[in-house]
Amino acid sequence: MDINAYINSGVLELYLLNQLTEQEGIEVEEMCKKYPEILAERIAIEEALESLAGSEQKRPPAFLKDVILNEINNHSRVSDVTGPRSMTSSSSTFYWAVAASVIGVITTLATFFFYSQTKDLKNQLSLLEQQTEISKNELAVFKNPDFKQINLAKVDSTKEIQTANIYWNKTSSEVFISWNNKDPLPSDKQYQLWAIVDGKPVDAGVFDISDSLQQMKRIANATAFAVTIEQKGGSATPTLSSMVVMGAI
Amino acid sequence: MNSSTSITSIESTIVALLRENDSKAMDLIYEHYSASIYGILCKMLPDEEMAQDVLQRSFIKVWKNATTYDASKGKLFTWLLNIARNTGLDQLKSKEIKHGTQNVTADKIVYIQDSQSHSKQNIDAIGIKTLLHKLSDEHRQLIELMYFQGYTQAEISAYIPLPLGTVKTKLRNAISQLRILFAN
Repeated sequence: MDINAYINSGVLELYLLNQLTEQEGIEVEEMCKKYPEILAERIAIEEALESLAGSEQKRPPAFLKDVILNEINNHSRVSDVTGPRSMTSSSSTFYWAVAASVIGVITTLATFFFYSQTKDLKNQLSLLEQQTEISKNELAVFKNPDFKQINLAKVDSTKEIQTANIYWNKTSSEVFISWNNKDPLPSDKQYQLWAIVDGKPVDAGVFDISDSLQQMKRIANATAFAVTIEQKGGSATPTLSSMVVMGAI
Repeated sequence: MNSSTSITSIESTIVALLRENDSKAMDLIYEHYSASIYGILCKMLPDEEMAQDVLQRSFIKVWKNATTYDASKGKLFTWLLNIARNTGLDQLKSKEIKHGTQNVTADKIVYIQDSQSHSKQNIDAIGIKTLLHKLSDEHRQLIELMYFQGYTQAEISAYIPLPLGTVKTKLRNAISQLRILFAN
């Protein structure tokens, strides 16, 4: 047996690259058992190839380790109980399950996103519609010559309360107030409008701060209007000390 | 060489665990060999997604056949890589991807030096890149086709006009050249 000729034939390399038939492979294994030189040569080639692979290595993505080891652990558990099963199908089932969950989550998020977007848009639209309606109403008041504008001036000139306007239609008795004062009141207080009818104050309704024209109670006859700060819900008679603005017709 | 002693002891630890069907073996195999195997799968298969799938299938196969590993027939890495290579070739076949559609020029090969798992092998990846490039074109091509891409002798002799009988001696020469370069 010419050991060198055997080694030099290249059969060991083919064996290690899994390129021999089963019979040829068994022969190589026999030779390695029989001749230590052949075994040593085989190991030397393996080490060279392993080093070569090491030099070309590439780290798999970090998540893969857990995926693989989890599947291996699941497999050991399942095979303990029910015997072997196809890991290929389990592997693809796993991927499908993950894919399905991911798609499910994305769909839910997208639905929720678009739902909230739509809801926001709807809210904005209805707000715009309301504002348009208000503007239309305000414009109708301003354009109507029957409405008389009454300027209410502040009672205490040292207080920083802006003036207000009353729009009063004597014919229809409609009263609107444009309240320019933006200072908020304590939560238990409200503004109250009074009409002076025959020298006596008549309740014309309570109101809060608003950018738009607010419609008040109908007043048929008045000589003046005044605003006081009252308890929330209004008072039967005005608290004169808390009067903020007043204007005569 | 200290490093080769530690490799050997890791290898024998893994082999002992495999024999006992202890899944800790798989963790160790992953730590020590997955990057080398994945590097080869990435060269062999058209994309990394497929390489990941094949790596996963290969590890399952390794685990299913854990007790069949026979150290007398070859080192652990040889066994692992052959399982992975066969799994990759099966996958190419099942997807009807023609083997050999990849560009096999050496320039395409990406050399990644990873300090973590293979520093133990005491290998300078840059050095080996140079070594591989020091081979003649023919030798380098043979190693790339047969070792990295899993071409058979018959495929090689069709790919490069070479008589079938000479492929194995050429491969032998190529690997011998590589070993000489490693030794220096």
